[in-house]
Amino acid sequence: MPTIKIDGKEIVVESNTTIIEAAKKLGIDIPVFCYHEGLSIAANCRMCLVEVEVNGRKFNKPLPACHTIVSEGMSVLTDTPKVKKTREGVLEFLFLNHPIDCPICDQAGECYLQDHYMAHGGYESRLDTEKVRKNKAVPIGEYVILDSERCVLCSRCVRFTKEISKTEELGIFNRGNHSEIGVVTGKSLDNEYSLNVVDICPVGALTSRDFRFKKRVWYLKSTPSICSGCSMGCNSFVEYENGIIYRVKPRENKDVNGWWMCNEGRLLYHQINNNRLTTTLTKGSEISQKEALSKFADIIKSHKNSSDKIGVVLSTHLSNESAYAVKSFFKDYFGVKSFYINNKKDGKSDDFLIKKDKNPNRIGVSLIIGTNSIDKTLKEAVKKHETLIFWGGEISSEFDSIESDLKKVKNIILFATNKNILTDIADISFPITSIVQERGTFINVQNRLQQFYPIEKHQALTYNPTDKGVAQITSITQRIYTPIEWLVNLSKKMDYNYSLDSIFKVFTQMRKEIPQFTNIEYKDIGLNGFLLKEK
Amino acid sequence: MAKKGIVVSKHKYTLSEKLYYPEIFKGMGVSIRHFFANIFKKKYTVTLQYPEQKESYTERFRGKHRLMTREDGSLRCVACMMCATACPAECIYIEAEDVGDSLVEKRAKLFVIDELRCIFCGLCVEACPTDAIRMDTGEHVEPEYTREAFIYDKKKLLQKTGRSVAIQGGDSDYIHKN
Ligand code: SF4
Ligand code: SF4
Ligand code: SF4
Ligand code: SF4
Ligand code: FES
Repeated sequence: MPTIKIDGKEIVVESNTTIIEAAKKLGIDIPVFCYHEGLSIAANCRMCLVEVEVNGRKFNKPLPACHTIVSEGMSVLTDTPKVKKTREGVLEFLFLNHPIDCPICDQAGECYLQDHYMAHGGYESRLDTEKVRKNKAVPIGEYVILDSERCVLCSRCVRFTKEISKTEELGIFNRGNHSEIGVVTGKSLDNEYSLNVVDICPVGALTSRDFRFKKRVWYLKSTPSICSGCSMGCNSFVEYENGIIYRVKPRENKDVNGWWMCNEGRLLYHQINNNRLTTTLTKGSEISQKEALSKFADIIKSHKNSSDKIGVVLSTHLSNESAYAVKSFFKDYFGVKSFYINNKKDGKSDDFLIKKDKNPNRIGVSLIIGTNSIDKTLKEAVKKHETLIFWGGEISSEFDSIESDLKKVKNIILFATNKNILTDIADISFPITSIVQERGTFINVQNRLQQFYPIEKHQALTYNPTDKGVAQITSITQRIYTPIEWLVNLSKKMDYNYSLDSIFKVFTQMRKEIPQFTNIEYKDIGLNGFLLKEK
Repeated sequence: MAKKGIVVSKHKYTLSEKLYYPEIFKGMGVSIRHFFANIFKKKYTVTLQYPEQKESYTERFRGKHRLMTREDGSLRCVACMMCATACPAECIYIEAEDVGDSLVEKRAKLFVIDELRCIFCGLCVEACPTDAIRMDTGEHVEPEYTREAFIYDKKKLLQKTGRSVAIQGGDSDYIHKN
């Protein structure tokens, strides 16, 4: 365990650490282009050069911090005139043929070149010949667009396709000034993870076709979330403005998804933005919330002495807290015993992130319902019950086989995020918030409890941009409630005293009842999740 | 820490001000002087027959906005949102679109300025990297009957357009040779 000094600050690190990792621990920022924690080290950009002394003897030349392993007695200087000069020099070379497209470049605002130039450049251009021109705005796959002029040839993208997606579509072609990133002949950048190259490209050379020109990045706010695309539960950031989501980016969590995320999960946000259920409906046509609630209350009251005629179907998209609240509401107040899980169809999978189980919280919901009390399948449910209450409107894998029987069920009550065939069938549909609009937890395939947070101003989702943007009016006709809020509304309607009105109260209750949760405090879950013990 | 401020002493009335009438007659005197000047010495007339006659403003007067076009008549704005970001009144709303050719790439699909909210600071003009927006029309925003009419869209902003050959993207060869 060598002890080293960086800019006079001492730190003890593991023996195989690089200078840049040690500096990160000390909070010292070293500018980089090619270094990425999740990829191999290429050390080709030379932006990270620092001066190194070992036992008082200085190396003649600066060394790359991303590639130099620390040794006992090493002293690193990151702020000397020589280091400043090298950084300026490296930047000047990188900018030689750079088009400075910032006004039309989607990367502007989060671009390493811009940031480094402001911090370490600031020189006047000395170039008086013409810049080398390369290809601009070439789509290289379904989701990615390449601008070779902006590329700094850091090779992050090439290393990604080689090491992470293992598809090897990208390479660097030609020599010298004319080197450029390209797709290997006969291929296109169409792997399941291709959008990650957009995140790791430090400049605007690779940009997303989905996000292209939609929003300048400095307007976006970011909230930590969990992807609900499959049971992996990749950690993500949801980036939005005025309640509308513009993109989703992976959030680093070495235990789950590393730095990556699949394309499908990223583009799932379209479902959260579009085709949402925003008002209470009956058989597809709008009714007032009040009316819907009293209808619902009447239906439940009519089953006062026949609670076995009520079946509750929980979607695997419900958070643990919502699922628990729903269960306790119907079990404790109405004596409902039949709970079902609405599983989604299995999908494609691979040996990296994508899992075939497309239910983000199947494990959590089954834990809460308790596997013994689950009546086997929806097929039996539709025959057995007069009233079915669906929490979550996902189309189940059994849907095709139960559709005709479902239509025969007397009362179907649905709580759903999106409009689909179920909202047309249901006698009453209530809009509920989606994963980005509420706080809660999921349990992923690794048995890890992970939490997600709500974005601000979630009710703005029904907002219609008009032609004259400034005069936008948000046309919210009804508020969208979380499942727990709906339960509270309903209990008020029926004059019950329902106490579990916040997720924290639900969580405390859950800890008492479910052994796996006993020793977790909500605040312990943190951003990286909490691995549950098998019981 | 207590806030520092400037001490402003209250104006002390002089004797003639306190007496009231001398000041009234002084004021009347000014009006009467102008009245006779207007009648007898046309050259010194201070009244303008607005709107037929107009005071000319300095060139730097910040008036109504206009959008500029390139030599080929297309809109210079590339929807970079610099103006919207700089605007302290947050009255510029832009939506970008993909042009589909690799030379210009991006342009404004919507460009809206709410002239009622605008405080005519000129920061948008200063921020624009492409000389696409100017406030050199020398005109005031015209009065309107409704608030909506003050929301200027692309069409209205282009009414007073002009060609600008300012260097775009910092590389003069770029627009001419390509
Ligand atoms: S890559 Fe960076 S410096 Fe280059 S045009 Fe884009 S934002 Fe500007
Ligand atoms: S395209 Fe981006 S990630 Fe790939 S080499 Fe160029 S700058 Fe690096
Ligand atoms: S003049 Fe000032 S307030 Fe008016 S649009 Fe421009 S930046 Fe905004
Ligand atoms: S700053 Fe200029 S180019 Fe950019 S959006 Fe505004 S008017 Fe258009
Ligand atoms: S970051 Fe070290 S050489 Fe590129």
